[in-house]
Amino acid sequence: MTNSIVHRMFCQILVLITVLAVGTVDAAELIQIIHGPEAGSIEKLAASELADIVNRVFDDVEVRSGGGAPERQPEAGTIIFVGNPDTNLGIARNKFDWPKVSDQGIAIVSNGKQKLHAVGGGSPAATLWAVYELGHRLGIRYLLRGDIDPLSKRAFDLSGIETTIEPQVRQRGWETLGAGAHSFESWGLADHQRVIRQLAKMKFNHLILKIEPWHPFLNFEFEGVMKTTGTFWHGRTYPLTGDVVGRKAFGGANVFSHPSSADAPSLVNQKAAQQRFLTSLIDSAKSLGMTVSVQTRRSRFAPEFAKVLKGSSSKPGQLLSVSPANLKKPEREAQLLFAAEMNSCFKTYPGVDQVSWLKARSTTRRFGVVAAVKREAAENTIPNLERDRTVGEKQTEIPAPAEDSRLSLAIHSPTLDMLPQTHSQEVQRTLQDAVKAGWTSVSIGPSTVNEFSQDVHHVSRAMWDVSLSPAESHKDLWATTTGNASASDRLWIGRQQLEKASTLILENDPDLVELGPGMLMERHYIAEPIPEWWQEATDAYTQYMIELYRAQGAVDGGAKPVLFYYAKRSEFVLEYLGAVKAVREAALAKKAGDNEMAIEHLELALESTYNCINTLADVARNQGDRGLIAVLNADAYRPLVAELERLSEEE
Amino acid sequence: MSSELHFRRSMAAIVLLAAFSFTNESSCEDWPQFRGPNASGIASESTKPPLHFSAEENVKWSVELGKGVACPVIADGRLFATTMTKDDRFAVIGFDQTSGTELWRTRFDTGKLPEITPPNEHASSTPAADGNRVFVHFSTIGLIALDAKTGDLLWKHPLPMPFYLMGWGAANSPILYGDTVVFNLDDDLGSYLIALDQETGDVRWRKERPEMLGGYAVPVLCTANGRTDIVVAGSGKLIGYDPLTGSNRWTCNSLLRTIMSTPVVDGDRIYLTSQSYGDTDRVLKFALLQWRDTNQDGKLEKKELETAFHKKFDKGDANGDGFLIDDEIDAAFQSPTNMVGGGNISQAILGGGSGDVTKSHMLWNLDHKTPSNIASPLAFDGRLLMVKKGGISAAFSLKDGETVWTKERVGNYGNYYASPIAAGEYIYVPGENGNIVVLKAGPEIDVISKNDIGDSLIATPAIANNRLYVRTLHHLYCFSEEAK
Repeated sequence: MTNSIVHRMFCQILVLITVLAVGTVDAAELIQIIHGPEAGSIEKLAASELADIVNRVFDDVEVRSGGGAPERQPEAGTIIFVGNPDTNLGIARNKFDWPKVSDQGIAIVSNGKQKLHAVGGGSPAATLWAVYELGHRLGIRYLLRGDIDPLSKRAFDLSGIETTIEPQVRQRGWETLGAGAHSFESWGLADHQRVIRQLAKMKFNHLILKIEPWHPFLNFEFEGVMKTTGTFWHGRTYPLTGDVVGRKAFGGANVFSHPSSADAPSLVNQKAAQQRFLTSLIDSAKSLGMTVSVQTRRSRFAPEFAKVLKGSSSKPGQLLSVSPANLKKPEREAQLLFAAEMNSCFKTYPGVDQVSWLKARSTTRRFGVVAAVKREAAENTIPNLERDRTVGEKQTEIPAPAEDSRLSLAIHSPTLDMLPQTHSQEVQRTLQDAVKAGWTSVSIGPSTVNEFSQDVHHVSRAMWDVSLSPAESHKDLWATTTGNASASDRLWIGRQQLEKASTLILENDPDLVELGPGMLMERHYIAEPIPEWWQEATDAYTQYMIELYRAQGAVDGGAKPVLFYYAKRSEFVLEYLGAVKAVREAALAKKAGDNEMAIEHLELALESTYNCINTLADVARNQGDRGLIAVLNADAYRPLVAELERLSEEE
Repeated sequence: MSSELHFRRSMAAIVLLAAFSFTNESSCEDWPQFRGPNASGIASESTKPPLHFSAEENVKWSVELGKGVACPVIADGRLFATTMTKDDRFAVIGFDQTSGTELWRTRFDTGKLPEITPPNEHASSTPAADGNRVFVHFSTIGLIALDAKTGDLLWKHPLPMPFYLMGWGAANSPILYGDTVVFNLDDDLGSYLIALDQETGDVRWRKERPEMLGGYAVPVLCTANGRTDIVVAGSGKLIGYDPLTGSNRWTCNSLLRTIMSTPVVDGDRIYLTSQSYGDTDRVLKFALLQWRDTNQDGKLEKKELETAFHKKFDKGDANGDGFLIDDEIDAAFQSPTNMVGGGNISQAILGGGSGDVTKSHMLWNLDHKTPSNIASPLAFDGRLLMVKKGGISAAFSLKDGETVWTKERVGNYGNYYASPIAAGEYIYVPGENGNIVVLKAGPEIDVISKNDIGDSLIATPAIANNRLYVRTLHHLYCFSEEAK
């Protein structure tokens, strides 16, 4: 009897739980995301990304994603079709007012009464961009370092998000790899792949791999000479043993190494590993609908080719490359050598669509002109490596584009690479002028992520609407992600201070903080007082730091750690500028014969350098940060320790 | 028969050995709370902890612990440490202090955690322990008492979550006095000192500290003039409390706005060193206008502060216009009777007073730029030693404050959050970068060794039985010459 009551109660509770559970499921809005039955991998990815976006933005939704026909009738929930009328019959049959778009145009359309929506574009890649554009309009912000989601989820609502847009720049390129331990040159495959995924979200469609003469990625023979050089970072190594500062960033490693070759035992294995690395990078870009080009140097080759280049020369500090004798009008050997390099590139990497080279870089504006040869034309082409004379030293006009050329927009200044920097106003002017001059292929290539996330965010939006100002895209980023208009406004003031500091240094002493051997002691241990503009630049960086710390203290959510990272990076810079100042003061004291005072200043410089590196190590989050720590140890901290010890012994 | 006898003899020997071992462990040296006996940083018995050690050298045992910055404590042969095992899971762990064997682990769900500022971590409160119980505080839970042998929860006393205007986060630690556990929590919302019954968790007394701003000083005991006081440093004031009732016995109005370091007691004297940002005129208002006035319009709006502070905001908003301007900010957040600013202090105050002892009991008061804002001083071998950022040290005579040395570097740059400790004739100076510098006590700075642990070091290490216990950000090490 008792058992029967218990059993009945158990059943009743079970029924109640089931009813409640079903009730909960029923309360959630059903969102069906449907791609075409024959959708390719990119459209399928678009559908799955859209499902992810809906889950991240909205509360109480049950998202189902798949191909073909919807599971229920439209009145049972919302249906979002992904693709275009040609790839998804759901869009054709449900009488959407589908706009005419190019292969790059994107459309987000709704049939509100029937709870039907369509997200897509004129090509699979454009469909993927349309999904990310929808994500943007729903409050997600895509940055190089990752996404920032809205501060809180909300009830499902897609009203008012209809749009049709076409890009103003059709080939939106991203230059990567480059040169320097602090740069993308140090990044491993997984890190690069993360960035490539973020680039797709920002609608970039062209990946440019910048290969240096000393890199291990290309191996070919020319006139009996085999390319044998294969290394990173100008052939330098960075041990992390002993007194290395900021080693917490390296997880116990003894040497700073490239992730792609860290475990390869021999040079041959390393080269094979590095070629696999590059192939994987290319495949990653292709899987997201991007085209790929390799950019090499028009005028620099691996040193073993010196014997086949007439009168070739190698500058001190550039022992890993040689230049042909005549750079203005390169001899045929140089052109043929380049052609061999280009053909090796196409042969080794079947995914590469173009090989390109920088024809000229403007000294007055923030751009360079890049020429390219397409794969299909490569066999019959001997590239013309002459400098582009339309980019004169004093010319401020942007020349008209030639066929297969690209405008490389300089959002960073390489000599300022260790500093937070921005040149957003001039970058925006250059982009506007370029579009006006008819350029449809534009690329950007900051050395690493860091603060450039914001510039990249701006340029990625401006490539679709060049009237967008840096201030507007700043607000679009920070007011959205922080939900705090005051914080966003103050961050803009901070950003203007950053631009002021960057400009001051570039105009007065562009090599002030250039990374490399001698960067601190050879460059600054000189008995010259600190120039007047120095204080103005330091004040600007200080104000930038204060704005960042204040804003990060006032906000929550995904923006907070980003702002904290920037704040620590600005603190890092102030410590380094303090070190430079102290080194100068030490040199002055030494010249005045006051070695005791010189030692005191050098100790302060050492402390500042230590704090500078340690501050960066506190927030180091990628190989670029770790590479910068390794470089600063090798080229700033250790030479400073050596001089302090030498002077102390003298005393 | 003979084998049975042999068995019995063997068993007897094992039992005797076990009994001896137990006796040996139970009489072993304790380091029972933040910075050891009475927060002094001085080992009561140890004289020879290792002078040379690293993550590879002289490691008797080590464990990967997870993130935390609370100091390890030792009582009756057991070591207690804390950590976060997940984003919302806090754990107290008991170890055998000799072998490093984990004896128990008790986990707590923390709920949603408040924002904190690095290098603070959520597992930040150092436990206090005796042979029977372990007491620890956690921001979202309150005070917890655990059985020292089993880790079983004995009682939990909920306390309001602390709030800090600068978002620092909680990091206050309890102490034991008699049969009470005494806990001071100075935050920017409602500071208090509380004494709970160790066995039941019942409140014996609670003393509000309305004049205090956020701070982290641990209470210390000072016996002078025939009685023992609980002495707590806080904004502007060092206060002596009756440990039985919590009543205020004496106050010394000589401190600074923000007090993060803990005083030390030597005989009947209390020594305190502290640095608080800015000059003496920099009251809290200026910090708030610099860091919390998000739009920089020179006045504070409610939305610029967390909801927890809105009641205080309303109290200060005299004209009800929705803004705090100038004096209204003071009225809201800093007591009008305690409008102290920043600066540097190194002070010696005689204990055992009554009433306002600012003039009567201040023995010496230095205004050198030598103290750290976080690391506490060490009163040892007749000198008051302090080490701050950059590894810059200073020492003053305990007797009269005469300078022994200033601005001497210990040979290790970086930040200093953990405090120096001592045993025998050696002083251990832990740097945030994971280097512990060993100094030989004496009238001149004498660096014996620099020992690289290889991980960030925020928590002050512990010393017991000639072993050095170091809790780095991720690991717990026991260093000992026995490891050789």
